[in-house]
Amino acid sequence: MKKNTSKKIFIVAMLAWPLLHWAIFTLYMNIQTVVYSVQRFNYYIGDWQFVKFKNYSKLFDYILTNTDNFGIAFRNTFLWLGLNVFIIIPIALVVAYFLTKKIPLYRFFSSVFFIPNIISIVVLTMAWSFMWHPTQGVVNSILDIIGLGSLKQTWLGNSSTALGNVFLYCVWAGIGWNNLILSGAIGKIPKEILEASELDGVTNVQEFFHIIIPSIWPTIVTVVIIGAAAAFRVFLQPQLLTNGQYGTTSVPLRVVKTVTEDSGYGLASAAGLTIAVLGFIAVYIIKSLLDRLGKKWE
Amino acid sequence: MKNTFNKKYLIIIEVILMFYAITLIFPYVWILLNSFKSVSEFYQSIWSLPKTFNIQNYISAIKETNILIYFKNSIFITVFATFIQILFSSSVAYVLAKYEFRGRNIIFALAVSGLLIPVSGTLAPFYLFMSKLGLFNTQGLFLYYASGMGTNMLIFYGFFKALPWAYAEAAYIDGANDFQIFRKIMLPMAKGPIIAVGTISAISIWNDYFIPSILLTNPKQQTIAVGLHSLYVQQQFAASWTVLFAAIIISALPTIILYVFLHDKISKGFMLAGLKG
Repeated sequence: MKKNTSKKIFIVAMLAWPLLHWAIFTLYMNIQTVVYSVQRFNYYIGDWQFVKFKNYSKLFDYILTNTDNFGIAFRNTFLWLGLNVFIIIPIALVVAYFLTKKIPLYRFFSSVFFIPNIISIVVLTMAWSFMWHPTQGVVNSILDIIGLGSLKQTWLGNSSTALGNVFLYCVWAGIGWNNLILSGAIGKIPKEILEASELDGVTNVQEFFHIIIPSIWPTIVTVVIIGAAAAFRVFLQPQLLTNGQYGTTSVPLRVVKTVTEDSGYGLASAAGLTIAVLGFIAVYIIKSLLDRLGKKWE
Repeated sequence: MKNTFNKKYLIIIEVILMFYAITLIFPYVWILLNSFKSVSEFYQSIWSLPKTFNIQNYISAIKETNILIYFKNSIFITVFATFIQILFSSSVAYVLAKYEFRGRNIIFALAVSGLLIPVSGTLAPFYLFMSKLGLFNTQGLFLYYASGMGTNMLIFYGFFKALPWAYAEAAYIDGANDFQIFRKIMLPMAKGPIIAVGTISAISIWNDYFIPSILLTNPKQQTIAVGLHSLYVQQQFAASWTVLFAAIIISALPTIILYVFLHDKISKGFMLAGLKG
């Protein structure tokens, strides 16, 4: 009996603080987001008032009229979803295929490609901005040297190139992590399978599509889900590269700016909740499509 | 796997991958070289090698900016927050993996579900909560970091689940209690996950920008990532690029050195965290 009580005390002591922390920073924050999204702070009476769905109709109106760039923010967040799922992950998969084939310098490549993950995004975005700087930047300088000076741009400072440049940054910095996970999965494919296919004389392209991809499908699904969910959180990249200007903003960045600059807590919560729900739906649809695709190979 | 590529294709692949690798390394080499130049030397040419390896910019960065204070704050916060994250996440994982009690599965599900919810969406209540309680600056940041659920917990959970319970049985017979068994027997065996969680937590806390930038309103308490960004913003008006370069090198050096020596362990840790999360 005494042993049982001391066991109970132990369990409670070990879990008490982490559960309290979770209750405050995850549970309470999420419930409060729902609560604030149907409230507004009334400065005359100095308190919160229930306003039903007014924040949501305001958000909807802002999206349609692109007030405060909310329309562009929603468009961009979905473009980011496409970028992560259809561009970054396929590139990372192809790179992982080459590196696991142990082509010359494969060790060097895989350690270098991972560098963006160990350096602060603050330093990474600064380094990127220096490279693309209009007067002191390396890219414009190279364009001058090879006689293509007419192509010089204020890359991150005008609406026609800024978004593309921010996307390029995301590809540049985003391959390494996906490559690491996918390379790990390819490395675990049983040797017999690969050797058997080699004896059958399959080409590299056939091997890639018919052996590698089906064999690591569960990992690909995981990586795609992580990438898709991440698309709905992107905001530091545009914040640090352009401060969200020149058509590069995203929904989470609008949420951040609405809180920190306008104190628009109700609107920010409505936007945060809307994008979380949309993200959840998008990830769910993607997951069921990928699972259906995976069944074909079983 | 053997590489069975046609030579012609292999060369093209190598060139593309090498180009990408160079774009990843070059900016830091460029920043390093230019950090030894004077401002006028830098404006004359961004390509030239520095005439002398002048450490004037490093002296200015240390004397004229708060970089040393930021550096000290970052070390303090990183060491302490990494320690508490290891402590709490291993505690939760150990109890969930080794003890039967009601609510265990629910707690496990909660820990995993938290990973799917974005931080920025709930910023409004977070901001109001922290400001109402006056929890800005270092104390608020520690409170925020002191979590025990999430990926770190999952790494420890996988380890403890596989660890035989026989070690504990023997210790019970010797009269040890649950706390002693955890602290003196189980935790010392978890060296692998402690190193994995420790390096990942330390790197992400050292590099963390968003929540610190919101909470650390007192410039004397800012971390290197937050302080460096404000230096960058100031530099856009002062045009003292080369001093900023020196500050960047100082701030990125710890993680780069760590990566050069430990890159196998670090990538393994990230792989573990990525697949569990």
